[in-house]
Amino acid sequence: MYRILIVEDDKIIAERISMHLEKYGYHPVVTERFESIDQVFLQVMPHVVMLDVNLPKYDGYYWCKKIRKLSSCPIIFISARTGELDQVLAIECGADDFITKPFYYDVVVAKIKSQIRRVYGELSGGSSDMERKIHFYGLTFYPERPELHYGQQSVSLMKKEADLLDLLISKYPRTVKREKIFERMWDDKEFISENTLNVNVARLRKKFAQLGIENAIETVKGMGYRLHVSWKEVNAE
Amino acid sequence: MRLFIREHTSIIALHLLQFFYLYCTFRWLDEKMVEGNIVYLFLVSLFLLIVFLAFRYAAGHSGYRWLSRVPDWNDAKTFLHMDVASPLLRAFKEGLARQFQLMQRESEKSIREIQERIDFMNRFVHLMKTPISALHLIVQDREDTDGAEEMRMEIHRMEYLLNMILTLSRMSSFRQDFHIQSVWLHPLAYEVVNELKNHFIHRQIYPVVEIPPDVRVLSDRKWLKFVLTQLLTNAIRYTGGENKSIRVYAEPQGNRMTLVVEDEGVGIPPQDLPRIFDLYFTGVNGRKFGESTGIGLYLVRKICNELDHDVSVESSSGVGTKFTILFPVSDHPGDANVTNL
Repeated sequence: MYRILIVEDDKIIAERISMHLEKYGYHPVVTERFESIDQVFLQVMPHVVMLDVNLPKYDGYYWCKKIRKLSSCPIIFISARTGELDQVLAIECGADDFITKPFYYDVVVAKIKSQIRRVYGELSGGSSDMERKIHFYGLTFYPERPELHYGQQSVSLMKKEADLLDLLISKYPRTVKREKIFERMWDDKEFISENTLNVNVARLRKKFAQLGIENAIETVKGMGYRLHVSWKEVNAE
Repeated sequence: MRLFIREHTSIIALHLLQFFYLYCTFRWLDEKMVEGNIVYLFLVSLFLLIVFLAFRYAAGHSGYRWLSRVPDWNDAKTFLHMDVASPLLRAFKEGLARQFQLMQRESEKSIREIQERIDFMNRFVHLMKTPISALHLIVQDREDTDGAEEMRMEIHRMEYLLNMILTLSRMSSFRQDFHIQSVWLHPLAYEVVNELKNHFIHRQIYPVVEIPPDVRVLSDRKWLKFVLTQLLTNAIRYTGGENKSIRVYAEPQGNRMTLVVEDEGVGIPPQDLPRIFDLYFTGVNGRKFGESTGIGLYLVRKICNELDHDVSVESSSGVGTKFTILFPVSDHPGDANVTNL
């Protein structure tokens, strides 16, 4: 299990990040001994350090340099300062990445994941080599292929359809708001339009129909979409 | 020269008066005086006067010349480095130098005070970002509860306003902070749109970016990004209703390149149009939508002026608004045109 040292003087932020990282299978360590971060580092020997810039006594840059003398483990800065110069300074102190406040959990997890992959390699991750496979009332969903299996049948999905299905399954039995779906489908290169959502919902319904399942996706007026288990559970193999 | 003569009129008058008095006195004492001698004396005295004046003029002519024109800003200080021999002028010069030092110290003091206040404000804004990010995390943890989405939008607004304060305080040191370089418009526009992702999604507005990948303009990337963010934020804010789109596109105008942000929003009433770039002006839309600060567009124009860009606006109520940034003619052939280099 990867140990992640969280050095952040705002307790709420530190706790929340810690809780969230635990959910993702990491072992977060929150410290409040801001006067001797290097000692804490040696005790914990973390795989990744998350370091706030504004700390009591010495700032994050100082500790970053200190830690660099001890280890080359990845250091990710969390900072309210958005200026280019602050980021440059952080990198020069030996930081590997930079997150600006306020931030999303997803960003934190993604950055930690990428640092771990970069430094400790894919193989040592263990679970990351396994293909993701989601069982859902007799359906088997392979988000990475992406394919959907039901009984002996299977259909292959498009990227956006798979994203949509992934979201619907993870929120089941709740309704997924349109906004959430848009957020997930947002493409940095080709921007979505109103059609994007409707077309993908229609396509996904068609894919379900190919498996002999009707009315799997319900439209909730004024809100979004919801999965409806309208099929019988059958044993796949 | 005129000032010099004016300054010395009294001396000349005194001299002449004195000579006249002496002439009268001699006449009265000695009636058999030879007129020729008097003329001779007069000439000698006049010669001495002229020598005296010439000497005075030589000693202080540069000072007189400087003083006789009202000095403009550029050479207001040259007098302080001038070499004048006249004691009065020298004393005056030293007094002036002293005054100047005093004023300089005062202005340095106030500049320091302003800088302190700016630093304080910056620090404050950064401190405020910590509770905001805590709030942001809390909201993310209860994503599906009622009002979470609204709270998240409000948090984004707070963040936006805080960043605006930072930008405003940075404006004061703007001249040191901007560097004209060649900027690629395509990645810049995509970056800004992606950063405003949540706003687009929340308002169900669809961004359309139509910029050829090879368009470059002369600008400052950081500030141009701020301008574009500002224009897009406004476009999103004043686009009511769903399924509207906002277009960002580049278009050559003569030999200059333009960047256009066009929305299908409520538009700006004609009577407000001339004043939208004024500081703190909010207008009808600002009052109706209640989110306007009256600062954003002011900054846009100020930054564009500094960067030598022209910014213009066209709008009609109910149809939409179109902001156009006109970039300066580029030095590189091909930069201002949509051609491959």
